[in-house]
Amino acid sequence: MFIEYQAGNSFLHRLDVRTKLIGFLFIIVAAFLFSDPLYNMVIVIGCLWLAYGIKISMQKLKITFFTLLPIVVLIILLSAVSYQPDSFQKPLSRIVLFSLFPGNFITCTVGGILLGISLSLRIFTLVISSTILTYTTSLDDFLQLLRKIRVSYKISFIITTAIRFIPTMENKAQQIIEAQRARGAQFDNTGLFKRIKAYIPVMIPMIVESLRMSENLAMAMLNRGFGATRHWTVLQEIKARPIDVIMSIIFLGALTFLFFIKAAHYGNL
Amino acid sequence: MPDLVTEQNASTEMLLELSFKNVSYQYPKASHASLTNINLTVSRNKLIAVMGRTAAGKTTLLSTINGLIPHFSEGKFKGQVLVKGYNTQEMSIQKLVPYVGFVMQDAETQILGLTVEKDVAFGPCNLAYPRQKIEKNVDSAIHTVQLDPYRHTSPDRLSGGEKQRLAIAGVLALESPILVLDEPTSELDPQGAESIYHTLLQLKQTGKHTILFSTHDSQFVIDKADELWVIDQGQIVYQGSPRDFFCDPDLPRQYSLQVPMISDLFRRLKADGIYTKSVLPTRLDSAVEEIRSILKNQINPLPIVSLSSHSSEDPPPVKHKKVIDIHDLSYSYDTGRQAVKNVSVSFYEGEIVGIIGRNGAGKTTLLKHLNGLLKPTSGRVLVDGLDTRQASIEQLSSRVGYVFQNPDHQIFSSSVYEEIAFGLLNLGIDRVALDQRIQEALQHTGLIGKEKIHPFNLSKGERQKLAIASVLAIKPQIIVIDEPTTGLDWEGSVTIMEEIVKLKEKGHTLILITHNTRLAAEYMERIIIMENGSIVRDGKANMVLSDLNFLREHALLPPQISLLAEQLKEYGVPPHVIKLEEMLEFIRKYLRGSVCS
Repeated sequence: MFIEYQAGNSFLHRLDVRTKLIGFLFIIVAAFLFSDPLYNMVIVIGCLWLAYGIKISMQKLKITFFTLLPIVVLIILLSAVSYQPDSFQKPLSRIVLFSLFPGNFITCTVGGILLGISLSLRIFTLVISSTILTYTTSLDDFLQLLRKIRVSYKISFIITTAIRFIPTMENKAQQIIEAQRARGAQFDNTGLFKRIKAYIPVMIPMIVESLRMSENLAMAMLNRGFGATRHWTVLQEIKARPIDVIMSIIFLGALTFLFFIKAAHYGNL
Repeated sequence: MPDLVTEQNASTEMLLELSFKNVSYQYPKASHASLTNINLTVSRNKLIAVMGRTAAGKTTLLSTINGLIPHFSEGKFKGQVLVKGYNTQEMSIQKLVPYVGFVMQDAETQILGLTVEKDVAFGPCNLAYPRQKIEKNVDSAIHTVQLDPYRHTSPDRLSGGEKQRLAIAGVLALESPILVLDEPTSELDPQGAESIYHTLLQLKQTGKHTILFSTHDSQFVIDKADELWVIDQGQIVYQGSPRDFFCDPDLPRQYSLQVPMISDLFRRLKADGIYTKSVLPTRLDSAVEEIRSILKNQINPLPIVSLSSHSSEDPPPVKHKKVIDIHDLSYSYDTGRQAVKNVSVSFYEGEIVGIIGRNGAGKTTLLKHLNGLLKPTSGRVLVDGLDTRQASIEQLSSRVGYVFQNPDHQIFSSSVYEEIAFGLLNLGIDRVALDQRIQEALQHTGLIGKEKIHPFNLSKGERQKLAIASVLAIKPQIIVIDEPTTGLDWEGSVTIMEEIVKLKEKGHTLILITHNTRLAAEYMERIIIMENGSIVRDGKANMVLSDLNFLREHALLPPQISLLAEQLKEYGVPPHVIKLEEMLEFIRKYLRGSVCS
């Protein structure tokens, strides 16, 4: 669902990871602050505009949108019938379209539908804004952030190594599956037990290979002086530039402003 | 005066980079020692090759230099290894890093960074070098291994040779004066190996490094190494000039080392009494000269025509049954890369075909279509008239056996017997027939008597045989083998190849992927050369492998005998000589003929 990091030189790429996280937080809080779909619509459009600006593939976003569609429909349907009219403030929202059972037992309200739409728009906000974040921020920036907040070197090393070896392990698994299929192994069995049994010829070589690789990895780390000293050189450090400070202030200012609007009962249903 | 003496001593100590004193080592739980009484000294700026048969103790010896033995692999360690005067037993592996850089065989697990640059910087960062120095070291290491264009690339996008070079760069950035490399080229194609050799020679030229490496490639050792150590059963059995070792007619065979084809030729000539010198030539130019002088001594050489006409006679082509028919096959991966482009080719009953080409030329992709692991993007593949798109994996796997490069990717049973049974059980073969088939497969691969052994207690060569046996038991008409000899010593390679030839004689069709043009010349009948997803040449082995211009054009290493034949054209060497036997035959006939006339 998330689009992986793409090296680039856009304004967002150049912002400090911390600034981007503040911005991300701002968007998320804004989305959860208001239950009026109009407000959420504005946020989604804003996010889409950003995504378009940094050239995220709209095709991929479209695919994400369609995969989410069934969930969206379900949310709207459930939400529509989950609220009593008096849980809303605005007269429009309190309108009851129909009840599922006599005596206004389970009612379908306009407010419920609108809230369902808002909830769905929030999901889109989350997806698009996190995509923007991962698209413009390298893993390295995140790791440096971990270091800044004093997470130990070992932990960030573990994360790096795990990510580094994902494609390697995928490749191994593929090769093992092919080797067994070439001897007539079948993996499309029905039934849980049969399926587990079918995968034994894959799991065992995979485990053996993993053990061998982890031993090699341990040796390779020693060969490269891992743990030689208590200190190590940090090659790049994330640095906040003036623009980062300015942007952070803008985000925080905007957030305060949104809280005021909320306090003045705008954006409610 | 005494000052001078100590100074001299000090300077020899300085020149001595590394010394082994009575080193013996036994792995934990091992029944016998892996190293026995090693005494060696190494002076600065040498390129030292370590050779020996599989499991002779090469890796073990090299692992003692940076302290992996005894610090990482425990066990019984005796004696001393001194690196720049420091005893490796008294220093941790990490503390030895500034003196010894160690590159292990498997490049993949040594790459620890998410980009090339980050990976190279990993070591220096651990040693807390200042940032500027790290940047400088990283720059120069990446430059030395010629990975500059890939600086910010993710390592999993690199080819095998590039990964190996990256592993070397990661160690180079540490500026260790002693570099140890364990089989840096064994998993690479000739182009990849060439790039590693280039790097090693360049490093030696800087004059800053002493380099020790293990290898099976005798030609490079003969041409470039300063010194050769041969290890056998944990003991150093030879230390000295590589050329002297390989010039000897018996030594290399005794320790299962592959000798250059020409040296083998001269060993045979010597046995015939045709060649009388005590040392064998190891290089092409000296071999050409020697043969010229042998042939020149004959006063009246036989007319060229009669000689060449005999050998170039071909038996009339016998049309065998077509077993595989590939028609206009194209295949594209999900990434969009087109790995096979419009290939049409057929394979026949009872032939042995070598498929040659660089890594990424499409060889494996093409062959995976034969047993339905891949289905054509367009075009069609017929196996025994069966379209692979409609056939089930069961139907195909009983017709086409596929032995993959790494036997460890398929072995999962706790005994050799069960491992071979796996494929048969998948096909639903009954118990009685099962046992008989397994016994046959064991017999064919020389594994008889080992059926109860746990596969992981077998040697690499035996595991390779087990992989073949487990496919053989299924009795497929067609057998595809991907790189049957990778990582095997000469003896191992020859035994495997001989088993393969036996299968061919029994009427199986064998299709082999190989980088080894020598094996191709000696054992294959038909050669297919692939490049960029297409077949660029398909013909009889002697026609293809003697077409030197073509081979050079496609950056393929011709077999040495073809090169020799080219140089000796003026003596009437028949065209298309690629095998050692053929060349030998020619020389014998030439000499006999001239004696007669």
